[in-house]
Amino acid sequence: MSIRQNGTERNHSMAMIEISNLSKEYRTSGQKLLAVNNISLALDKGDIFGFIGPNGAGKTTTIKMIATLLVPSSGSVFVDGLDVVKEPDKVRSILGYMPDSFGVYDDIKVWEYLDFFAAAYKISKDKRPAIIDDVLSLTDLSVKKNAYVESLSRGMKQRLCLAKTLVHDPKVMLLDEPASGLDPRARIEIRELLRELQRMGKTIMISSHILPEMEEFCNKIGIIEKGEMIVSGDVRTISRQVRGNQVIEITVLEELERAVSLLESMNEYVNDVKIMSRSHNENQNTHFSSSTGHSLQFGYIGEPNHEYVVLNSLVDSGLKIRAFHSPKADLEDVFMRVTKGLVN
Amino acid sequence: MNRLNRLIFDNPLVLKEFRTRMRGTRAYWILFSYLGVLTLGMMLTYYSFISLNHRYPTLMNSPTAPAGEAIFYFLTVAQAFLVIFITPAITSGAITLEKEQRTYEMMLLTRIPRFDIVFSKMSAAFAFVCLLIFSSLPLFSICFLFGGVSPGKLIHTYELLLTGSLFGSSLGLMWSSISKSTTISVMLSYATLFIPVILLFFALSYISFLENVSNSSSFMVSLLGFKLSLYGVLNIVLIFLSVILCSVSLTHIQAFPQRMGWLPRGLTLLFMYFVSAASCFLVLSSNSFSKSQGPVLLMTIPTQMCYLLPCIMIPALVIIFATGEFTAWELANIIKRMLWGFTPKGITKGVLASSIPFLLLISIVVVAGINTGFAMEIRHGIRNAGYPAMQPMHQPTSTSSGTTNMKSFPHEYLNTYKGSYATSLKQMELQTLNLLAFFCSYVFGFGMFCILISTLVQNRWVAMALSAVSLAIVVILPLNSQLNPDLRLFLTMFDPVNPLILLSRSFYMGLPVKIFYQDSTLSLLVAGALSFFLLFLYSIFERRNNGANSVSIRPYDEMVAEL
Ligand SMILES: Nc1ncnc2c1ncn2[C@@H]1O[C@H](COP(=O)(O)OP(=O)(O)OP(=O)(O)O)[C@@H](O)[C@H]1O
Ligand SMILES: [Mg+2]
Repeated sequence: MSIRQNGTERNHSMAMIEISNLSKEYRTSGQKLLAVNNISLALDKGDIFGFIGPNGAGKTTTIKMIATLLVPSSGSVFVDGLDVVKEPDKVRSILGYMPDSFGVYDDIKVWEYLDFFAAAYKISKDKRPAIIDDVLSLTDLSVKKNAYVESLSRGMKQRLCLAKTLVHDPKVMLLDEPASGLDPRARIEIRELLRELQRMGKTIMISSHILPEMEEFCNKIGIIEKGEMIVSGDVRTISRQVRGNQVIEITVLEELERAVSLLESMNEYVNDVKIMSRSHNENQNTHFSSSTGHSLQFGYIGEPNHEYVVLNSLVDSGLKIRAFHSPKADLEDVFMRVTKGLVN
Repeated sequence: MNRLNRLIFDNPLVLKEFRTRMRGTRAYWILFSYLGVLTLGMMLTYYSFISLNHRYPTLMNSPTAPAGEAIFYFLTVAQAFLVIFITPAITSGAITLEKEQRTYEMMLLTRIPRFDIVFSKMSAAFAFVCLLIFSSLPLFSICFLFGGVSPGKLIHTYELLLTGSLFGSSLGLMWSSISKSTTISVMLSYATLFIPVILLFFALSYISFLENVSNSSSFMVSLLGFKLSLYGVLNIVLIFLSVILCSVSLTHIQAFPQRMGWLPRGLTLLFMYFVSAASCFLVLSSNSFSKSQGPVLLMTIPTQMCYLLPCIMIPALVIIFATGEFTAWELANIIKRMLWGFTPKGITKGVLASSIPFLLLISIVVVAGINTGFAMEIRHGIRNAGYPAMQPMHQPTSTSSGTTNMKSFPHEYLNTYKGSYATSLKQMELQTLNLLAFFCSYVFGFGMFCILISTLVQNRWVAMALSAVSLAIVVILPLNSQLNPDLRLFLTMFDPVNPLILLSRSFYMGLPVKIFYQDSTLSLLVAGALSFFLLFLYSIFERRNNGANSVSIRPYDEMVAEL
C-alpha cells in the first residue's frame, strides 16, 4: 500500500486523536437531546481504543464527530494535530471510517467498488490494481474479486467495507461496530486483521457492545453511558480502578483452608480472599477432574510487580500451588459494575 | 485541461455511472418505451390528419404541410412532457439513493470534491436525456418529408428541450440533496416542477404569439446590449436557474452545512439583476414593437409591468431565504447575531441571521436592474428593438445621424400613450428611490415576520408553508371578486402590506409610487419591528427556560473563528 499524506502539520500535542470537552446536542423539532456530554480523550499512535457503551450511549455520535461528519456543539477534536472543524479535508485523507450501517452500490463488482473508493481518494490509476489486491488479500476476499457486491454475504460485505476503509492507508481508523452480525469465525478473523493493523502502527478506535472480544486486543477502553464517559484509560488500570486493586487467582491442589488462612495473615499484601466455586474451576480447566484443585482469588494491594513475595511465602510453607496468575481484566465485569453506577 | 481530465475521465463517479448505468436492461426499456410512445402518437396524429383530409378536402390548400406541422407539434409537446417528467425522476434519486443505501457518508468522506459530485450526477442524467432526445431525431425528420417546418424551428425546439431537461435534472438533484428519502424527493420535484412548467408554457405561447404577429420566426430583443431571440432569453433563464439549483445542491452535499452559502446567494443576486433587467427589456421592446406594427397589435403593455416580476419574485425570495433555523447559541445572542448578519462576512454565510441584509441587497439589485433596463432602453431603444424598415426615420443608417432619434423616440412614443396608463420612462426613473424604499421596507417587514414564524415553529418547511399561506391571504384572497363583503372589509386591513398594491395603484390609476403611499412603507416597517421585538422576547423566554443545563450550540463559523 502506498504511504501518502505526510505533509500534515503537527500541533504541540503528539496524540493522534485528541478530544477535549466534546459535546453534541441534537435538536429535533424543539426537543433537545444531549447525546454526548463533555467527553475528553487522548489516543497515541498505535493505540487500539475500545469504545464501549449500551445502545444509545452516544458512541456513533462521538465517532461521527471525529470523522468530520457532525459538527460538535462545543469542544474540540484534533486528529493528528488537525482540527476536524477547521480542516475537515485534511483530516479525511488520513482517516478511515467504517460506519455502523453501511451500504454498497448496485450493479457493481467487488474490485470496481474498491477501485471507486481508491479513485475517490485520489490514488493514481497505475497504483490502484496492486492496492486492491493488497486489501482484498488482507481481508480474505481475493476469491470474490469479480463477484457482484450485492451477491456477498453480510459478513463478506462487512469485510469489503473494511477493505474499502483501508484503500487509502489511513493513519487513524474509526470502526463503528465492525464485528456486529459476524459469525464467530469471521469475528476471530477480524480480530486477527485488527492485530495486523496495529502492527502497521495505525491508531484504531472501535465501538462495540460485545465486551470480551474487545479486551483481547484493545490497550485502552472507554465506557460511555448516556453521553458521559464514565471511565477511560488503560484496560488493566481500569479494572484495578474498578475493583480497587489487582486480582490474583491461585489454584492449590489441596489444603484450601490453610492457604486461605495463610493469605489472610499477609494483610500488607493481600485483602479480600475469596474461594472460587468449584463449577467455575471446572469450566476453566475442563481437563482436570473436579477434585484436582481448588481455586481462590485475592486482591493484591502491595507494591506493583512484587506479587512474587506472596507466591514465595506460599511455596515456602509447603502448599502445592498449581497456578498463580492474574486473570485478564474482565471487561464484562467492568462494564456491568460501571454502568450500574457502582463507580463514578 | 487537467481539470477537465479530472472531471470527466478520472472522475470515479462518472466512471461508476458509466459502468453501471447501461448494465442490465432497465435503460434499454426506458429508451424503447420512450420511442414507442412517440411513434405511436405520431402515427395517430398522421391518421387523424388523413381522415380529416378525406372528409374535408377543401380545408387544406397544401396537401401535406399541415400534416408536417401537426406531427411536429405533437412530437414537440409529447417529447417536452416526457423529458420534463423523466429528468427529475433520474436525478431526484441521485443523492437520496446514496443516503438510503448508506453510501452517502462514505462518499462524503472521500476526497471527491463536491463540485465533482454535482457535476457527475448532473452529467449522468443529462447524458441519458440527451440519448433519449437525440434518438427521436429520426422521427422529426418525417416532418420534413411533409414540409411546413423550418429547420430553425427544430433547432429552437431542441435547444429548449435540452435546457428544459437541464432545469428538470437540477431541480431533481436539488431536492435529492435536501431530502432524506427518495419518495419525498420525487414528490417535491414534481410538485415544484409544476409551476415552472406552467410559466414555460405561458412564455412559449407569448413567443409564438409575437412570432405570429411579426410573421418572423426569429423575433429579436435587445438585452443589455446583446441581440437575442426570445428563445435565447428563455434558454438563458433556464440555464441560469439550473446553475442556481445546482449550487444549492452543492451547499447541501456536505457533512457540515452552511459552508459555501455565498454561492447560491451570489448567483441569485446575479439572476435577479438579469431577470429584472430582462423583464424590463421585454416589456419595453414589445411596446416599441407594437407601436411599429400599428393597428395589428392594439394592446400595449404598460411600463409599470416592469414592476410585476419583482413584485412577485421578492416575496417568493423572502419566503425562501428568511426561513430556517437559529441554533440555541444564535437565539441566545439574537441581537448580536442579527447585527453580525449585516457585516460582509455575515451576508456571505448562508444563515438565517443574515437573510434580511441579503434580501435588502436583492431589492437594491432588482431596482438597479429595472433602472438599467430603463436607461438602456432610453439610449439604445431604436437600434436594437427590431423595428421594421417601413419607418426609415427610426432606422439609423449611421451612428451620427441616428443618435438624436435614438434618444427621442421612446419618449416621444411613450408620451403618446401617456393619456392611457403608460408613464414615461423618465418619470419611472425618477421613482427609483421610492421603489427602493418600498421593496426594502417590504423585505424588512415580511422577512422579519418569516423569521419570527420559523423560530416559533422550529421547522423550516412548516415555516415556509405558513409564510406562503399568510402571503396568500394578503395578496391573493382580495383578488377573489365573490368574496363575502365582511371578509373583504377585513382584508383591506392588509392592503398596506400587500406588495401588489403598489403595482395596482400605479398600474390602474397611473399614480406614481410614493415612499409613504397609504402609509404602506411605514406599516411594513412597524410590522418588521414588531416581529423583531417578539423574536427578542422569545429569545429571552427561551434562555430563561433552558437555564444553564443546556449546551449552547455555537454556529459553525463562530467555532472556526475561535479556533
Ligand atoms: N440524527 C439524530 N437526531 C436526533 N437524535 C439522535 C440522532 N442520532 C442519534 N440520536 C440520539 O443520540 C443518542 C446517541 O445515539 P448514538 O447513535 O450515538 O448511540 P450509540 O452509542 O451509537 O448506540 P448503538 O449502540 O445503538 O449504536 C441516542 O439517544 C439517539 O436517539
Ligand atoms: Mg451506534
